[in-house]
Amino acid sequence: MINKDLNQYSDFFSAYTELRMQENRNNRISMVNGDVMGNSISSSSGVSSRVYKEGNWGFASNPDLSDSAVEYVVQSASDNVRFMNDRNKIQCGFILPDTCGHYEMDLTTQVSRNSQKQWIDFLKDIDSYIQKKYSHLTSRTIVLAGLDMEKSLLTSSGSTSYSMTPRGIMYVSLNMEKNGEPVELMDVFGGLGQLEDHFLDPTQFYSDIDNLADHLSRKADGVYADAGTKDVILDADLAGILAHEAIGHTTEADLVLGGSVAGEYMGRQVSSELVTLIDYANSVDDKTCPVPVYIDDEGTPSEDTVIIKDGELKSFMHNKDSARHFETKPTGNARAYAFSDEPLIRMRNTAIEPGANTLEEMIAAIDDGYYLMKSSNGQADSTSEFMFGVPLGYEIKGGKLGNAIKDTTISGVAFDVLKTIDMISSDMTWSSGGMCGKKQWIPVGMGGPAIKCQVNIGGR
Amino acid sequence: MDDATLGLKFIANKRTCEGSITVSGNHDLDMARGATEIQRMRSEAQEILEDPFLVMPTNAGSSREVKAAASLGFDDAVDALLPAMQGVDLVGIFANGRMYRGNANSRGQHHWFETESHCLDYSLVTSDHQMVKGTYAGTDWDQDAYENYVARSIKKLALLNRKPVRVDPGMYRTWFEAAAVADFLDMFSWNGISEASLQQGCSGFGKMRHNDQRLSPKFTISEDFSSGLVPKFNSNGEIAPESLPIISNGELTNTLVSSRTAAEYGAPTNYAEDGEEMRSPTMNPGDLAHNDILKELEAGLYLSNIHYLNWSDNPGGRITGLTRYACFLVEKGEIVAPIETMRFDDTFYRFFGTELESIGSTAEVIPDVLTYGQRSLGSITCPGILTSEFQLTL
Repeated sequence: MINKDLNQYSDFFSAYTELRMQENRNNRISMVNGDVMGNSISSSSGVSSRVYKEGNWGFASNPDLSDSAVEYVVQSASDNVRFMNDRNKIQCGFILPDTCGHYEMDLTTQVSRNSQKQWIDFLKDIDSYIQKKYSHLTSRTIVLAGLDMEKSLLTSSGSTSYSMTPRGIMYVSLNMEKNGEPVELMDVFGGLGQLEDHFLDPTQFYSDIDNLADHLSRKADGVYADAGTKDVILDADLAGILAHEAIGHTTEADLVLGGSVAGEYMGRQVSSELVTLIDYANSVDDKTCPVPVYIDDEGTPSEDTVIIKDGELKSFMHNKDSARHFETKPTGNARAYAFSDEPLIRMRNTAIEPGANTLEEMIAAIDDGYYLMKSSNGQADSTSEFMFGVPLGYEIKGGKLGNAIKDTTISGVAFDVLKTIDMISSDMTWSSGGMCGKKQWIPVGMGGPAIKCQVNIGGR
Repeated sequence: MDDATLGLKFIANKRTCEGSITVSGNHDLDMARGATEIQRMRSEAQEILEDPFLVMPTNAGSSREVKAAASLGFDDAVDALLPAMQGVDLVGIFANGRMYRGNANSRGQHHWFETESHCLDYSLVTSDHQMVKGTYAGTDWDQDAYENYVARSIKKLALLNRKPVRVDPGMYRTWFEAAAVADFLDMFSWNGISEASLQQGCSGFGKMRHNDQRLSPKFTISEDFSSGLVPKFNSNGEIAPESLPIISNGELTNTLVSSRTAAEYGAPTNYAEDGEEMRSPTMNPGDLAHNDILKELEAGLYLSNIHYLNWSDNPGGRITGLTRYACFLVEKGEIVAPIETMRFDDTFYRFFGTELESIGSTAEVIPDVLTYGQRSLGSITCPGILTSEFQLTL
């Protein structure tokens, strides 16, 4: 538990200053074919400070949480900005936007905490279920991973926040062989909350595992997709990674300054008019998102960032510095992963807004194409060019689902793909199993509705 | 920033628990945290399942390796770095300082590794947002060498000011600079030459193991610790051989085998790290002199860097990624123009195998510049390669 109230340290501040105390706690247990292959608990804690003056930043961090360490860190950050000011006077006079907010959020579970033994028993139960029911599998891997991110923040502008944002995830990966070739499929369960909030009763996951095993079996008997540009439905998982990786990153203002393609598109029609794409700060329709951020790590109250509205590029995601540069408001997207990390512009929960169609209507509208359900190995470039692995999908023939397909890839230029969207489903599904990497890790939420569009699909 | 982490592994009654804590530098506080952590693991080890592939630590002898360097001082760094960058748009990260790894176990074995290094990872940017990427790294600071390195990047930047051309998807004769080759070799540590990956059927090297497929006889790579840039001991305190051939003249001769994999699959261990990734890969140079590269390439692509690699077909050894940064079209042995970003998709069985025409005569040290959680110690030593064909797809 870290100190929730940092106000006692405000006397150390001499310029614009952010002071953050943070502890990340990780719990990870992995089981392969019933054997515990990893069992670890780790924690990382410390204090950091960032100081802004005359257009320059100074940063320092220390793993000691004592009062003297806090004073030392603020002093070091102040010294570092002074060092920069002596050498770089070009930005002298630049003033950051002033923001102030207060929020306290503690999502610690309300149920009693499990021991490692109880978690291992939980995994053993699920593993035994898989082993007994699906004895033909060549291997089964189950991983339980918990991350508690606890942060306190004080800024010289008067912002204060305390947050304990947990994430509890279980990965299940099943492998089988068909004609000498390995076939694999994985699914992720859980999300916002500690492990106890998601995984108390293993029997609740039996039907999910049956579903996963059924898809795996169909995939093993599946066909290769025909290569080329096809009509496809990207289910929430793929639509979410497209929104995050291929569009979202290009609209992070620091990457815009680095030359991302979106810099030229502001105010222009970049997609079908059906598309509204939002980086949600903390909730949608009063439902909490997988990664709720109410005050960011610069002390800015977080707002939804409407990136694309009815097909038009409307906004980038900003921290204070980029907001100053673009002469707009910061959006509350400044986030840091570890106590020793400086806040960067990061997404929170990025998704396309739901539309008006049902999935059934969308499938019926395709004569020859694919329903693509899961993503793997997603990657994209600041040009919005992307390639994602697709480990699960089905043919659509004459408006009906057909055979499963083997592993394939989709690729294209995301802004071009968005222009081909002509149907969007009315439902919304979130996933928060992944970590986004940008010199630092950060948990993010992705998801949304299913979208019907055209995309390049890889063949054999 | 001064950061330190203490990792603990507690083994009792064939049961294993692991934990780690941040070390604050306050001795009493750190000792108390460590004791609490050990107590937690001691209690937990009474309850959990036995580890069937447990490898007990041993005392195979202790080691101490300390490498000092004449590095740039904090106060001198900015003044040393900036003059060479004048007149260009450069963005980058300079990291400098000492890095430490230590390992001790209750059998009395102690290892200590300490090194000092610098790394400037940067991009030079044109007004059209075209970029030249560079990584200047080493131990002793050499101002002349640094200025020459940046000057070469600036020279390359001038070529990027030419109007970029769009090349069509298809096969191209291609020269890859060492940094691009290092990106390919880095993929060998991900579902690659890990024995566990091979045993579990998820390695791109399955064809070499099971189908007797080979790469080019020109291609040789080993895990080589002789440079002293990374410690020979792994996180379990086991000492790897000074040099371990992995692929010799195109033939898979060894895989990386951790003690745990050895216990599980019966293969002899070579004391790889638990994840069986390469820690100090070194690819042998060939005979293509730097000055002859463009002449030998004649017509095709000159790729300084590739970007964001991924397996598109792991069993087939097929890798996809982007041509990024300073990538050029070459005609008649001359660089004509930069190319627009293209996606490639090809298998290492071709570009390190059937299509590998020649290998550069000079190997470069390409440092690992990742900063997730901490600075990285590793590096890849490799030359550039010339391939007769390489497939661009989009």
